[in-house]
Amino acid sequence: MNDTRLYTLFTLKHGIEIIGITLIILAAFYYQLFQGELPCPLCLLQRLGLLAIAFGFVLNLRYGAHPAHYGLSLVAAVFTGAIALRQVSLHVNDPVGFGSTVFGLHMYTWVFVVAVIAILYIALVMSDARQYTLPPPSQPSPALKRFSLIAFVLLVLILFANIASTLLECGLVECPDNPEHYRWLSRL
Amino acid sequence: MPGILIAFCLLFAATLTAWFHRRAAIGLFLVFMLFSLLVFLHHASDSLAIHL
Repeated sequence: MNDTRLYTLFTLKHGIEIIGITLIILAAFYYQLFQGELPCPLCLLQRLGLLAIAFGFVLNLRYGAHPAHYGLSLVAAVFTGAIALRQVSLHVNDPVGFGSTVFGLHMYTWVFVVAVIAILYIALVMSDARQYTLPPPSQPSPALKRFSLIAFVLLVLILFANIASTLLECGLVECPDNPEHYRWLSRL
Repeated sequence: MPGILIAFCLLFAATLTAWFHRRAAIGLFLVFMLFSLLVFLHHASDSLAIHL
Protein backbone atom coordinates (compact mmCIF):
# COMPACT_ATOMS: atom_id res chain seq x y z
CA MET A 1 0.00 0.00 0.00
CA ASN A 2 1.50 3.36 -1.01
CA ASP A 3 1.95 6.30 1.38
CA THR A 4 -0.88 8.43 -0.06
CA ARG A 5 -3.39 5.61 0.31
CA LEU A 6 -2.23 4.85 3.85
CA TYR A 7 -2.41 8.55 4.78
CA THR A 8 -5.98 8.69 3.41
CA LEU A 9 -6.97 5.63 5.44
CA PHE A 10 -5.53 7.06 8.67
CA THR A 11 -7.26 10.42 8.05
CA LEU A 12 -10.55 8.59 7.45
CA LYS A 13 -10.02 6.71 10.73
CA HIS A 14 -9.52 9.96 12.68
CA GLY A 15 -12.71 11.41 11.16
CA ILE A 16 -14.73 8.28 11.94
CA GLU A 17 -13.47 8.37 15.55
CA ILE A 18 -14.75 11.96 15.92
CA ILE A 19 -18.10 11.12 14.31
CA GLY A 20 -18.45 8.06 16.59
CA ILE A 21 -18.11 10.23 19.69
CA THR A 22 -20.60 12.79 18.37
CA LEU A 23 -23.08 9.95 17.74
CA ILE A 24 -22.80 8.85 21.40
CA ILE A 25 -23.56 12.41 22.55
CA LEU A 26 -26.45 12.62 20.05
CA ALA A 27 -27.90 9.46 21.66
CA ALA A 28 -27.66 11.21 25.06
CA PHE A 29 -29.50 14.21 23.57
CA TYR A 30 -32.24 11.86 22.32
CA TYR A 31 -32.88 10.75 25.92
CA GLN A 32 -32.71 14.35 27.13
CA LEU A 33 -35.05 15.87 24.53
CA PHE A 34 -37.46 13.04 23.71
CA GLN A 35 -37.52 11.02 26.97
CA GLY A 36 -37.39 14.08 29.25
CA GLU A 37 -34.31 12.90 31.17
CA LEU A 38 -32.35 15.93 32.28
CA PRO A 39 -28.63 15.18 32.76
CA CYS A 40 -27.27 15.42 36.32
CA PRO A 41 -23.91 17.17 37.00
CA LEU A 42 -21.97 13.88 36.82
CA CYS A 43 -23.83 13.01 33.58
CA LEU A 44 -22.80 16.39 32.10
CA LEU A 45 -19.21 15.77 33.20
CA GLN A 46 -19.30 12.39 31.45
CA ARG A 47 -20.43 14.08 28.23
CA LEU A 48 -17.62 16.57 28.69
CA GLY A 49 -15.09 13.76 29.11
CA LEU A 50 -16.34 11.88 26.03
CA LEU A 51 -16.11 15.04 23.92
CA ALA A 52 -12.62 15.70 25.30
CA ILE A 53 -11.53 12.28 23.96
CA ALA A 54 -12.29 13.64 20.48
CA PHE A 55 -9.85 16.55 20.97
CA GLY A 56 -6.78 14.38 20.29
CA PHE A 57 -8.48 12.95 17.20
CA VAL A 58 -9.11 16.51 15.90
CA LEU A 59 -5.39 17.26 16.25
CA ASN A 60 -4.58 14.02 14.41
CA LEU A 61 -7.05 14.93 11.67
CA ARG A 62 -5.66 18.43 11.18
CA TYR A 63 -1.91 18.04 11.77
CA GLY A 64 -1.31 14.32 11.21
CA ALA A 65 -0.95 11.57 13.79
CA HIS A 66 1.32 12.18 16.77
CA PRO A 67 1.72 10.18 20.02
CA ALA A 68 1.08 13.36 22.07
CA HIS A 69 -2.35 13.75 20.42
CA TYR A 70 -3.27 10.20 21.35
CA GLY A 71 -1.93 10.90 24.86
CA LEU A 72 -4.40 13.76 25.33
CA SER A 73 -7.26 11.49 24.26
CA LEU A 74 -6.05 8.81 26.67
CA VAL A 75 -6.01 11.29 29.58
CA ALA A 76 -9.56 12.35 28.68
CA ALA A 77 -10.68 8.70 28.48
CA VAL A 78 -9.28 7.94 31.95
CA PHE A 79 -11.00 11.10 33.27
CA THR A 80 -14.32 9.97 31.74
CA GLY A 81 -13.96 6.49 33.22
CA ALA A 82 -13.28 7.94 36.69
CA ILE A 83 -16.44 10.10 36.55
CA ALA A 84 -18.56 7.18 35.32
CA LEU A 85 -17.13 4.88 38.00
CA ARG A 86 -18.00 7.48 40.66
CA GLN A 87 -21.62 7.49 39.50
CA VAL A 88 -21.73 3.69 39.26
CA SER A 89 -20.50 3.51 42.87
CA LEU A 90 -23.24 5.95 43.94
CA HIS A 91 -26.04 3.72 42.63
CA VAL A 92 -24.50 0.26 42.76
CA ASN A 93 -26.67 -0.81 45.74
CA ASP A 94 -29.80 0.89 44.40
CA PRO A 95 -32.05 -1.55 42.44
CA VAL A 96 -33.62 1.36 40.52
CA GLY A 97 -30.51 3.42 39.78
CA PHE A 98 -30.55 6.84 38.11
CA GLY A 99 -32.26 7.37 34.76
CA SER A 100 -33.36 4.82 32.22
CA THR A 101 -31.46 1.75 31.06
CA VAL A 102 -30.15 0.83 27.63
CA PHE A 103 -29.93 -2.95 27.01
CA GLY A 104 -30.19 -3.51 30.77
CA LEU A 105 -27.40 -1.14 31.81
CA HIS A 106 -27.70 2.45 33.01
CA MET A 107 -26.13 5.13 30.87
CA TYR A 108 -23.33 5.85 33.37
CA THR A 109 -22.39 2.16 33.23
CA TRP A 110 -22.30 2.38 29.44
CA VAL A 111 -20.06 5.44 29.68
CA PHE A 112 -17.66 3.44 31.86
CA VAL A 113 -17.67 0.61 29.30
CA VAL A 114 -17.10 3.13 26.46
CA ALA A 115 -14.23 4.75 28.39
CA VAL A 116 -12.50 1.40 28.96
CA ILE A 117 -12.98 0.48 25.27
CA ALA A 118 -11.60 3.92 24.28
CA ILE A 119 -8.50 3.40 26.44
CA LEU A 120 -7.85 -0.05 24.93
CA TYR A 121 -8.61 1.20 21.40
CA ILE A 122 -6.28 4.22 21.64
CA ALA A 123 -3.52 2.10 23.17
CA LEU A 124 -3.81 -0.27 20.21
CA VAL A 125 -4.06 2.26 17.36
CA MET A 126 -1.28 4.50 18.71
CA SER A 127 1.10 1.54 18.57
CA ASP A 128 1.05 1.51 14.75
CA ALA A 129 4.26 3.47 14.07
CA ARG A 130 3.67 3.82 10.29
CA GLN A 131 1.19 6.70 10.84
CA TYR A 132 3.84 8.93 12.46
CA THR A 133 6.24 8.90 9.51
CA LEU A 134 3.75 9.27 6.64
CA PRO A 135 4.34 12.44 4.58
CA PRO A 136 1.15 14.40 3.82
CA PRO A 137 0.21 14.02 0.13
CA SER A 138 1.27 16.93 -2.11
CA GLN A 139 -2.25 17.07 -3.60
CA PRO A 140 -4.74 16.11 -0.84
CA SER A 141 -8.05 14.94 -2.26
CA PRO A 142 -10.89 17.50 -1.98
CA ALA A 143 -13.26 14.76 -0.79
CA LEU A 144 -10.94 13.92 2.11
CA LYS A 145 -10.60 17.60 3.05
CA ARG A 146 -14.40 17.96 2.95
CA PHE A 147 -14.85 14.85 5.11
CA SER A 148 -12.33 16.17 7.67
CA LEU A 149 -14.11 19.52 7.81
CA ILE A 150 -17.53 17.86 8.24
CA ALA A 151 -16.25 15.74 11.17
CA PHE A 152 -14.74 18.84 12.81
CA VAL A 153 -17.87 20.98 12.29
CA LEU A 154 -20.07 18.17 13.70
CA LEU A 155 -17.95 18.09 16.85
CA VAL A 156 -18.04 21.89 17.22
CA LEU A 157 -21.83 21.91 16.75
CA ILE A 158 -22.38 19.19 19.34
CA LEU A 159 -20.11 21.06 21.78
CA PHE A 160 -22.12 24.23 21.21
CA ALA A 161 -25.37 22.28 21.74
CA ASN A 162 -24.03 21.07 25.09
CA ILE A 163 -23.13 24.61 26.14
CA ALA A 164 -26.65 25.80 25.24
CA SER A 165 -28.26 22.82 27.00
CA THR A 166 -26.19 23.31 30.17
CA LEU A 167 -26.99 27.03 30.21
CA LEU A 168 -30.73 26.34 29.86
CA GLU A 169 -30.65 23.60 32.50
CA CYS A 170 -28.42 25.18 35.14
CA GLY A 171 -28.28 28.88 34.31
CA LEU A 172 -25.25 30.76 35.58
CA VAL A 173 -25.10 28.92 38.92
CA GLU A 174 -24.08 25.41 40.02
CA CYS A 175 -26.16 22.60 38.47
CA PRO A 176 -28.58 20.89 40.89
CA ASP A 177 -27.79 17.29 41.89
CA ASN A 178 -31.15 16.05 40.64
CA PRO A 179 -32.46 18.45 37.97
CA GLU A 180 -36.20 18.35 37.24
CA HIS A 181 -36.67 21.32 34.93
CA TYR A 182 -34.76 23.78 32.78
CA ARG A 183 -34.03 26.72 35.09
CA TRP A 184 -33.73 29.29 32.33
CA LEU A 185 -36.78 28.05 30.41
CA SER A 186 -38.96 28.12 33.55
CA ARG A 187 -38.10 31.82 33.94
CA LEU A 188 -39.87 32.70 30.68
CA MET B 1 -20.17 28.99 40.11
CA PRO B 2 -21.25 27.35 36.84
CA GLY B 3 -18.18 25.08 36.73
CA ILE B 4 -19.54 22.63 34.16
CA LEU B 5 -20.61 25.45 31.83
CA ILE B 6 -17.16 27.06 32.05
CA ALA B 7 -15.52 23.66 31.40
CA PHE B 8 -17.69 23.17 28.28
CA CYS B 9 -16.72 26.67 27.09
CA LEU B 10 -13.01 25.89 27.63
CA LEU B 11 -13.28 22.65 25.64
CA PHE B 12 -15.22 24.49 22.91
CA ALA B 13 -12.48 27.14 22.72
CA ALA B 14 -9.73 24.50 22.69
CA THR B 15 -11.45 22.52 19.90
CA LEU B 16 -12.07 25.61 17.76
CA THR B 17 -8.48 26.76 18.27
CA ALA B 18 -7.22 23.28 17.31
CA TRP B 19 -8.11 23.91 13.67
CA PHE B 20 -5.95 27.02 13.49
CA HIS B 21 -3.14 26.81 16.06
CA ARG B 22 -1.88 23.52 17.47
CA ARG B 23 0.19 24.75 20.42
CA ALA B 24 -2.41 27.24 21.67
CA ALA B 25 -5.08 24.53 21.45
CA ILE B 26 -3.03 22.08 23.50
CA GLY B 27 -2.42 24.82 26.10
CA LEU B 28 -6.14 25.56 26.30
CA PHE B 29 -6.90 21.84 26.54
CA LEU B 30 -4.53 21.46 29.50
CA VAL B 31 -6.26 24.38 31.26
CA PHE B 32 -9.59 22.69 30.49
CA MET B 33 -8.41 19.36 31.94
CA LEU B 34 -7.18 20.97 35.17
CA PHE B 35 -10.39 22.98 35.57
CA SER B 36 -12.58 19.93 34.82
CA LEU B 37 -10.70 17.89 37.40
CA LEU B 38 -11.48 20.53 40.04
CA VAL B 39 -15.16 20.58 38.99
CA PHE B 40 -15.27 16.78 39.18
CA LEU B 41 -13.64 16.77 42.60
CA HIS B 42 -16.24 19.27 43.78
CA HIS B 43 -19.21 17.27 42.46
CA ALA B 44 -17.75 13.94 43.57
CA SER B 45 -16.99 15.01 47.12
CA ASP B 46 -18.64 18.28 48.27
CA SER B 47 -22.11 17.75 46.79
CA LEU B 48 -22.22 13.98 47.17
CA ALA B 49 -20.57 12.59 50.27
CA ILE B 50 -17.66 10.26 49.57
CA HIS B 51 -15.83 8.11 52.14
CA LEU B 52 -12.65 6.32 51.15
